Amino acid sequence: MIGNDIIDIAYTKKTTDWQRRGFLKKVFSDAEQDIISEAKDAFAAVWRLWSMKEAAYKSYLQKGGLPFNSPARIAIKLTDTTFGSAEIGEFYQELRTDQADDYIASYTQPPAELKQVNQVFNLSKNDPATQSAETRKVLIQRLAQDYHLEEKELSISKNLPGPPELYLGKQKLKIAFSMSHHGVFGVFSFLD
Amino acid sequence: MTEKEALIAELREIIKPYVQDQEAFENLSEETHFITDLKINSANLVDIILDTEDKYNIEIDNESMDKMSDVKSAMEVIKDKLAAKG
Repeated sequence: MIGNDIIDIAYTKKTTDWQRRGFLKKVFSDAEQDIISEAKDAFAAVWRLWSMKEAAYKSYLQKGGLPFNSPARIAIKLTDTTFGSAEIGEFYQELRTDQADDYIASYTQPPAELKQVNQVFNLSKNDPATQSAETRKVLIQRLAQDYHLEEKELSISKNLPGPPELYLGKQKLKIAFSMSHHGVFGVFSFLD
Repeated sequence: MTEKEALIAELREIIKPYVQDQEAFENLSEETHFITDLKINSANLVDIILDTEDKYNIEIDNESMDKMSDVKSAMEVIKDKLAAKG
């Protein structure tokens, strides 16, 4: 199971006011709100926790979990400035977060025996009409290269709100992957 | 305008600022899904919940939030909460 999420910092500042009344309470538990109020950089703490929830949720869906909307149902614990974990009921997921100057990206941690590729990239434009297709294309190009597959034969189906699936022609491939995009950033992860 | 049409019109105003797919928004119906059709991002879904709470002076708990995936289910939650308020 695999999941990721990316936060475009500049775009988030423009589109979401996390300080509006009621926002933190809707999204975060009391323990998570304590982490935020004790953080030196509250903005970074909010969106680190948020991206961890999103990445864990994608992994949870891949494991067959039922879709839901309420982020408060995902409980986050932090281990240090990079690592942490999420719980959704019985579901447990270890996570890592990379904080750059202009983005925050969270990823599920792979099982010890597997290697996970995580790649952040710039989208050509911040346009909801093209972002999703462009993100799929970048991942397909990378998979075609790494696995010596014909790029034209590869496609990714969207089954929103469930997880996407990868196909070679009509054959479903068993490569575990995840994609996200936000603002001018895209990110993909796959298990090698 | 029926009560239902009025509620859809009010909901349209609430979700308008957060819509990413304008074409889907113009064709909005009861079946329109917030995330898959309107491409509303999950942070803005929280905004929609908060805006709905403010407009109708209701509280939408996590369980109700989980139901609010499309226009129809959102209308049902609003109606239920208003009825409970009396």
